[in-house]
Amino acid sequence: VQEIIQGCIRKDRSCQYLLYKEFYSYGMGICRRYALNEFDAGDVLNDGFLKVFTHIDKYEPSKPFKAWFARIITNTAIDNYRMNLKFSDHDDINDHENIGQGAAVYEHLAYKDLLNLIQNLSPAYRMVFNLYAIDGYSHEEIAGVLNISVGTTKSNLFKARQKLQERLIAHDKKVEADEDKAENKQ
Amino acid sequence: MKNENKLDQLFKKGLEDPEIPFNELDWIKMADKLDASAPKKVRPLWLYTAVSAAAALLLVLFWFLSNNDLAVQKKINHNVKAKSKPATIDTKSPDTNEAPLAKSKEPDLKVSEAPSSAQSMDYLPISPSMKTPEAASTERPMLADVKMPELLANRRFAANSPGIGLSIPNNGHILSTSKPKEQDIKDVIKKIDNATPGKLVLSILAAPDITNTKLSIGKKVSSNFGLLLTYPISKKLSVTSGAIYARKLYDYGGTGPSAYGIAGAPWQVDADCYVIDVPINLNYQVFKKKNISISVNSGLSSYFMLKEKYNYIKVEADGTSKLTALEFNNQNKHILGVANIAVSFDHKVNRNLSIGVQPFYKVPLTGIGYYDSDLKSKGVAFSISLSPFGKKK
Repeated sequence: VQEIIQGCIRKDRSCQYLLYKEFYSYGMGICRRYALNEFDAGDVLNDGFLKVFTHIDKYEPSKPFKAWFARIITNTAIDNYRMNLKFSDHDDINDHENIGQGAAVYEHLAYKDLLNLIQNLSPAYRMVFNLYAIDGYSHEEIAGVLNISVGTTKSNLFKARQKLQERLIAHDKKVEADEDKAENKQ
Repeated sequence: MKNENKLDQLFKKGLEDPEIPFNELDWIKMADKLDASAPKKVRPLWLYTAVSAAAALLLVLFWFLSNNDLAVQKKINHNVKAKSKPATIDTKSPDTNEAPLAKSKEPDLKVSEAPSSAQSMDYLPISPSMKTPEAASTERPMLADVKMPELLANRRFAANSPGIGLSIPNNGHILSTSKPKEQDIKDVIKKIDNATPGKLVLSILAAPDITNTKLSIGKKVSSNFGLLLTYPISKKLSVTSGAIYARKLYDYGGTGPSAYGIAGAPWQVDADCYVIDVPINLNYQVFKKKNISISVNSGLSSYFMLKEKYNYIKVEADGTSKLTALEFNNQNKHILGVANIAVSFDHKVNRNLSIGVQPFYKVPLTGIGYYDSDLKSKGVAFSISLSPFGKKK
């Protein structure tokens, strides 16, 4: 990867292509979680990659490239959210940490199902859940990047978890019903 | 320690690093983005310069034309005055309409005003010797005696002098006793006619064109059908807008980047896009003789991409071809994103109908469609123009 990065610093198009191909899946994975749909995700990914290629000379080789790359892509997704900000679902709730403790039973869910659940959240909930639950931001960091209060990030996280849990239960019931139907047919 | 929530863990584990198949089309778009961000790109600069120059030229022409109109009108006024023998009637009425502007050296026409109950439509300039109705009562001719060129000339002159006009009724009287020769009247009418804007025109057009990008391989014919409305600003200058439904067929391709000594794979994109093109163009008539006229047109178009279909074909190392089809509906619009340049040749069939041929060239000022293509179109539009809205006054 370091060799490819050096080529990207020289703006060698072949190296840019290789880096793009190498981190396409990882970057797209981040973008799909944050974006409304696949089309938006593609745009956000390329915006992010443009920043990566433009500022790649600022990358410090002693640190893991993947983390640097992920930070840039995530920041681009946040910028995109800010630009398209239309929703503001939040209120102040401070203590709702008990939601979602029984989720282990859903580990059979595939990537597509989980992505679908995330993408169906409202943008404000989706942003906070992504940043906190998956990308490891603290509430203070989220409040800073989204320009909202810490109370609001906590509230949105709570509501996001609540929605996800409800949908997981609904999903589980549907699966059970489908299985019952299949057994009855046999 | 921070995040022990099992729901969070479920999503983190399931979504953190998925396997998403690589899409070469996204790379093509990325490569275009890299090209667009490269500092060496100078094309947009000259394009913007050219469009700005065209707009400036049209503005200058418009300004020149407006002044020219005024000059013609003034000339007509002088002609009228020269051919008339104004009868000055000096009456010291207390109701006189003499205004503070009365010291103006503007060539004057002797005017009298009829009772205020009449419809007030026409305007004439105030002159130092403007007289009251009573004053003119002795030798004022009725409207029927007034010569049409004078009325028209006065009307046009006054219309261009807002703020210094004096309302007179249609059945008012103008002091003029001379009778200009028939030829003079024709000349004046012709001059007025030349300075008068034309009619509102509705055009139906069909236009084949060749649409391509800088990487295009073949030349496919695209089709356009539209409805346009042209509004005359002056005799020679007009503005056109409307909607054109276009189906743009084009392709482009190349060879992927080589890596580690292995040659890149050839690829090709076949595009089929349905677009609504909304132009706003300025037209300037550069030539007119009998029923033939030639105009230059310039302006900007907005593209609303209704449907974009892309077939991406890549030849793999083993010689097999892989096809990826993508379709986007109503995903992109490019407001004033395309520059239009055209020349129109029109033949007037009769008073209300004309036919035209218009070679045109459309150059993008921004990337067009989902893949930000450098989409140029050159073609010829065939139009039928109708003037169903009567003469514009």
